[in-house]
Amino acid sequence: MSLPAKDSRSLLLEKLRRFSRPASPLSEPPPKNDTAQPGRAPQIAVREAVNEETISQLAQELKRLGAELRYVAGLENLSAAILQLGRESHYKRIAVGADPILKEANLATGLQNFQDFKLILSDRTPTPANQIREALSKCQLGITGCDAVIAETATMVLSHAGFGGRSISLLPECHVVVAYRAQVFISLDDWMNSQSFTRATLPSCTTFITGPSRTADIEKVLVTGVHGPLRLVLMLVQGGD
Amino acid sequence: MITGPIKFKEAARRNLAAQDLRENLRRATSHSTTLRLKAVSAVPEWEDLRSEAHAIKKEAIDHLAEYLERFESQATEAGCKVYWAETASQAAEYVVNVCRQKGASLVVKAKSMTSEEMELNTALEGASIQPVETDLGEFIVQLAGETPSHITAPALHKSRTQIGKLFSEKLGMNFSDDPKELTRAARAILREKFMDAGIGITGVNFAVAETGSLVLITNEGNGRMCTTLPRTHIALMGIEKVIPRFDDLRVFLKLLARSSTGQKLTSYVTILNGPREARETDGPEELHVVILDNGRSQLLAHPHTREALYCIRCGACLNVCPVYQRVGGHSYGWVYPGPIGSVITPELQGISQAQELPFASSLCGHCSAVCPVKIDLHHMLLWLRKSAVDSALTSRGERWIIKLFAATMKRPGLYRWSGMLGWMVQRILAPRGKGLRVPCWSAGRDFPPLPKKSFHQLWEEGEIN
Amino acid sequence: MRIHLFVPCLVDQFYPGVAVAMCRVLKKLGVEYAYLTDQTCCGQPAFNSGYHREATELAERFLKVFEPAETVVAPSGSCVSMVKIFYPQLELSPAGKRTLERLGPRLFEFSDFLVRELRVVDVGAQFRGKVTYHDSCHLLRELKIEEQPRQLIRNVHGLEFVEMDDMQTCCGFGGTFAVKFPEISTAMGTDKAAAIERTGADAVVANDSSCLMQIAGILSRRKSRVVPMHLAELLAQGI
Ligand code: SF4
Repeated sequence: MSLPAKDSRSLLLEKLRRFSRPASPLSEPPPKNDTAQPGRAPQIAVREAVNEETISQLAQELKRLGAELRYVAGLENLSAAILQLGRESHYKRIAVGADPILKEANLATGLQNFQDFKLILSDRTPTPANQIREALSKCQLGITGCDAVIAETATMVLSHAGFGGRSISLLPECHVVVAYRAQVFISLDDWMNSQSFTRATLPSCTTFITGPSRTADIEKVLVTGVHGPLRLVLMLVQGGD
Repeated sequence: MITGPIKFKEAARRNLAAQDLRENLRRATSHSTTLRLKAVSAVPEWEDLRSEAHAIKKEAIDHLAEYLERFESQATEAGCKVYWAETASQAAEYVVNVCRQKGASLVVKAKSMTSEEMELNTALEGASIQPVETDLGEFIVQLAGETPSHITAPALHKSRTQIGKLFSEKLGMNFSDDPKELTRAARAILREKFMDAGIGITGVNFAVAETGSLVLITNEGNGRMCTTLPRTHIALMGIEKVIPRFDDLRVFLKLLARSSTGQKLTSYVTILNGPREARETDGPEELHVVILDNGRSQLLAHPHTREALYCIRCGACLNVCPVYQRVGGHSYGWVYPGPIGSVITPELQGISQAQELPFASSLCGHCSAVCPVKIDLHHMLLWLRKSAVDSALTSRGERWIIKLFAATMKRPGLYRWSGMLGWMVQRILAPRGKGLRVPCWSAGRDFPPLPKKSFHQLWEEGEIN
Repeated sequence: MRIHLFVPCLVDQFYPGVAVAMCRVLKKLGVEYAYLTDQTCCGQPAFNSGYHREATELAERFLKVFEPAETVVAPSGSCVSMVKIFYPQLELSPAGKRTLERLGPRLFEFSDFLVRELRVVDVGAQFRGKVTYHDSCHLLRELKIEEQPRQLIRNVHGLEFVEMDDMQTCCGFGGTFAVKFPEISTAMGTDKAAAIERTGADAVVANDSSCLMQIAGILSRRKSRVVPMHLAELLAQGI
């Protein structure tokens, strides 16, 4: 493949420089220490004291988006909650990510009796990518944790590195996000203020999920469930602080 | 590439007469403007956000070379391969080459107006590579063999019945005009394509210089599919997509979805930093970023229209434009319709190719009032009109009329005399108490009758006290 | 207070009644007015068509004619914005620039002059009937005048005010746009007329004779019973 890559690059930059202003101190992004946090471990943000008002705003917003909210009294009740959801909706195949919160809930044991098929992902098993994806595409339920939940917009922040990847929250029919109550932030600003974003700390993929996938491409009629999940459930676990 | 000057007037007349198109446009644009207004009114600091976004874009565009280089180095550091293309065909060639090199025969695409500029689908097909549009609207448009008529809602010109017919014809399914059923059908077909495709191609909403991040704003999840399943991801961006800092996203995320669909946030905001890492189980192994100029750098040189590069492609200016609402996107002759199209098409394709566009506006200014980055669109149209006149692109007849007009207005005596002359002509030609029949006016409207005496006469005769 | 009238060419030639009505209202309010008889056109048609050379000549002329004036009032948002917003974009002579700098801030659109300068919202007018108001684009978006006309209309005795759908949507006139793209222009005007008729109003009021020319032209073609009226004409009712 022979491409004139360098040529078009320098030609283009030359053109741009002609009409760009010269560098000014203002234009330098504020210096960030790229090596401050080695590795790209996703930062699990944990915040204290979330009040009832915030939670009820979150509930309202989720409802508006056509997403669901279920409260779970404690981590020990999580598998029961998931089993119930599975039974209600006749889901037969389930995939569980390798997020710490899910491991801690010991879902591997808790979901033992799940109907037909369960796929417990681990960040250590080097399963070939295409096998995982085939399996995930057949699952009706995909369970993940998240970095944070934003009440104002009912957004869940997921950084996918390692914990079952990007597919588990995308391919199954229904995506269940498990979060501690203490992971709820009031606004996106609020959450962003608690983080530092540098090239070194940002994982390869971060997704803000706000409701199930949707479209209005046909006569502006809102249809939920296009390519991504048809259904989105947030399981909010008491505690975490 | 457009071949020969865009014939807006002709196309507009045709589209204006198509009743079903009018209805489809009316329904879609009024729906979007209502949702937008509701979402925007709920944000008290809206005007401040607009100013802030304008300032950030100004900073980015003022130092474009620097920020793009910074983006390039950060993205490269994260493992991306960055390619700079001066022209659309260079960019298309690069993409085709990557596909060939990967041995891909199937490509899944998320919505990207930049790829429309590149006429990428034609280029891929020419190389025996099948491109599949996966955004529902784009999928519909591709099935119909058309081009998008709106930058965020590509199939807005079609009704559910038309789409139902199209699906039953092209996909062999039973006719249905239920949007949900049609959407599910597309989901099933495209799910397989996602699984099989070797390459995913997407656009880019924001490219962050500070961190080398690519930000994608989507609703359907097809953007996520394209950046999760295929082994190679190619992201296409115009040079104007760069923003300085990660933190700037706060502002744009608040503005974009509200302006475009009236949502607080779209279903998905995807932030990509390089391809997958070794320990990850999915995501592309290679991530190519194509930075496209295609005439944009010329805009930099034009002080009056330079700010058009601030555009974040929200589509709000199209939705509120009374002209777009009636003639639809295809009348504008190239990729970008509506007010922003009328500004950038003449700039990117040359004013001589699109000289009718700047005039196709009543200058109502609604576009500028809604633009989330405060682009002064309708005033830019005025500058482009000047540039059409300066390049002698307006008709000889018009130039003559304007000269005559100015000459008359410079001579009060002549001005008054022509007023009286008009009144006399009217007395002879028009029925009593009625106005004249005036070409280019009277087909659908009555022309006002000239009064016997002008204000000037009344004043001179002392009838005003 | 003493002002100079700026009577745009369209008003002078087609709608002198609008300027006469404006004079009547001003007189009632004790404002003295003078009229510089050499005035013609502000140059907007040339400017909007892209002919800056011709527009500049007419702008220079306008500024020279209005040199003696201190405060100027015009019954048109469009022509006022031409002077206030667009003249500064032209390459004017130093003398022209000086006059513009002095006069610009003292040039008022009629409703704005009454409400913000004279601080009058009730001129004592009377009108029996239902009235709706169309926001002219230049008035609304260039000059940001939205409330003033509404306040004045609401305070007319015996009048019932009603807003129409999409009151801030363009009527489709747009200067030369109306003749360059007559089909689109008429389609816009037709929707506007329909919105006006849906209110059941007896009269539709606007602040720009150009919009009224379009609206009236369409209403008359539709044989509508709604009467188009300039704000000045409404405010002169019964005084
Ligand atoms: S010009 Fe402004 S309103 Fe129009 S698409 Fe671009 S950002 Fe949106």
